[in-house]
Amino acid sequence: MPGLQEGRVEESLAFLQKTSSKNGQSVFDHFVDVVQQILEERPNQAVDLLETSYLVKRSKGRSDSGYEIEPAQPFPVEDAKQGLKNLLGKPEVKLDAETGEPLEDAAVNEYECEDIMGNAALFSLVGAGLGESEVYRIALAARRLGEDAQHGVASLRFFGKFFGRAADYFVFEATLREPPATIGEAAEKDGIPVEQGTGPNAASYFVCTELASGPFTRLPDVRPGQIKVARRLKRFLTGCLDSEVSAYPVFPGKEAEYLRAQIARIAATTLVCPAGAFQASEEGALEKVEGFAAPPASELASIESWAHRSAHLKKQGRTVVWRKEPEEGAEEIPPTPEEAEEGPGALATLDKDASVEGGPAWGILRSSINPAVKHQVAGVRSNLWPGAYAVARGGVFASLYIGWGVKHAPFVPMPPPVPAEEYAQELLESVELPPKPQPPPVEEAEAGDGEDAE
Amino acid sequence: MVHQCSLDAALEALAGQGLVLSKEQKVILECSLPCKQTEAGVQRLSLWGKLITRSAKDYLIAEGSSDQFVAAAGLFPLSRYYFSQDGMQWSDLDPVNADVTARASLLTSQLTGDPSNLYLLPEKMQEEGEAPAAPQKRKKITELQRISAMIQGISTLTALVPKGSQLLDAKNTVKTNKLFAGVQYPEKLESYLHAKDGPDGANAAEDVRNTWAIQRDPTKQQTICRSLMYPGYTFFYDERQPAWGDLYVGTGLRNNDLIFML
Repeated sequence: MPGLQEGRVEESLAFLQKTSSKNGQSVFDHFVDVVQQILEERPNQAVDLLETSYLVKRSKGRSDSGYEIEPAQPFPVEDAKQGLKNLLGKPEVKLDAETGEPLEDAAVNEYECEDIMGNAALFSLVGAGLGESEVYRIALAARRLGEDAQHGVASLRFFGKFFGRAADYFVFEATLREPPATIGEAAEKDGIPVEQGTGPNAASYFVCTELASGPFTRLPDVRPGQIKVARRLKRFLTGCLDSEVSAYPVFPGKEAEYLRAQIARIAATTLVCPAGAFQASEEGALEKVEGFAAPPASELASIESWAHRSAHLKKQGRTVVWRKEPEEGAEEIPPTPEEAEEGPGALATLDKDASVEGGPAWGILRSSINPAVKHQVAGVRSNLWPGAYAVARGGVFASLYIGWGVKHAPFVPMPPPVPAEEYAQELLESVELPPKPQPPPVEEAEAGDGEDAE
Repeated sequence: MVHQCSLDAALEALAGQGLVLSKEQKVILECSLPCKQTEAGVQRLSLWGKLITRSAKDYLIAEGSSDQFVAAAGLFPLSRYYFSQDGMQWSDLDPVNADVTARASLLTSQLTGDPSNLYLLPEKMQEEGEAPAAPQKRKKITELQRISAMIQGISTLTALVPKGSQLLDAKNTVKTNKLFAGVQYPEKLESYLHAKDGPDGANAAEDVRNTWAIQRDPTKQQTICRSLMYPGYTFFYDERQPAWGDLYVGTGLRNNDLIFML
């Protein structure tokens, strides 16, 4: 090498062979390794690969970048096979153990279901939804739920996905063939009766955390008290229906009840349809208008063309305010503010919704930024419940919720309860000693001792 | 954010978490992101996420990054951010200083969708002892400053990478480890590091407890980490490739009520 004098070669070699105190290797050894490897493998662009040698050096001996990673858990072959079978196979026919005949109630349940894939296509055009493969699994799971005679589902709709900390809930909204069993004592502690089969309990909700094999659980009907407390809470779901809702104010129920209360709140606020898709009958029930077709997207792109489908959920936790019947002869009690609340009527359009933080309650979604594109889809997105969407095109409209089940509002902790009132009698400070107790009469005291000794 | 896969693959993996773009946005981004990358002269440009606004004129955010150097003070950030409302026109987002970040964190309302919107700061931000100032004298920040502050906050507190997937090379530059074979325990938070701290930085398990929700799907062999501090940040790690990526789709607001929500 030019410039390197005789005798200094040995010195330089010695320097290169100095071993590192860290891993016992020297620069010399490493160069030998690199040259050896290049000559053995004869790669095309050896000089470019020298960079790799740095990487080799740096990643050597680092346990977190080893070359062979053993899978932490083996692939669950049996579970995966069973899951596919559950999603796609025919429902298992239960046989009578004695006769070998199929049991009567094992017949496949006939049910109606919304077009989950078709609606998902509309949602994906406006940038909402869950992606094709997940939605297809949901559609397959809907069949699993619908065909199960044990649940007796008459019609079925995918409500949405609720994220939880450990697992997510897939929620299906269903109407049942037979009205569900009443939930025991109808009245609450404060006397407000539960709306059974109407209002927030008009539909039943089934949840599962695992589409392929998880069991479907029907959530219990919601009580007004649960809705009232749920409004004071802001919580993440855990993903386990049995877990406690430890919060203040105390929630009357477990996570299943809390989830049901949140569903009732979300459904009441965010289930919307194009205006005119439903009409209220004389009894107040909503009927679908035959042959309804939503206006074109250009018209749907304003919130006046959308209307609420579900009844407004009042502060009382009911859709219809309930008032205690005054006793006969008693004077009429003036209604409390809760009882006097008058919400918007049925099928109110969205422009009448209260503003959210001074802004609009809904945002308009369109499938294209260019209004001239044909066959567009328009939808709305709730600002109050982030994750709630609705879309419409032609005669088809659908709502969907995907989110944490949390309202967009700051959490305001409820103040602790008012301290109990003190004894009503006026308390006077006194410098006098309390009156001396009378010495008890002797005979009675003996009798008393006898009682104590028992 | 850092993707070790194409945008399509990341969107496919994260769709089940509700992180979806509209079909039209995907078509636009396929073309406009490479264009912006060339124009901006950055080594990598990837979609960072979407900030949703109340008028539904959402902001798409792209992150451009060149090699990052580790200096004595920590990782030297070289990321640049770009925003776009239609996906076609990308504009630069200027970084903001700590003062503006602190002011922006006081605002809790949703973004409006108007980049020029001015936010009046709450009264308490005024200097102490000062009389309540008239609205025109109160401090203001623009929506773009707010967005910039939000992105900074989200990237610092979230942005994960699998442990061992990055290396420091001889020039102290952060490089992708081409020999990365996967993490041993994908279902544990310990396996994921904060991207901002470099290859030897803190892992997600060292964060404040309960700020992450981690779920592993054994059939898909995929792990999902969701931030509870910034709901909407989602990271996925696919064991089979191994591939990973993350996106943020949300309001951009920090969840200040987390402690009450667990």
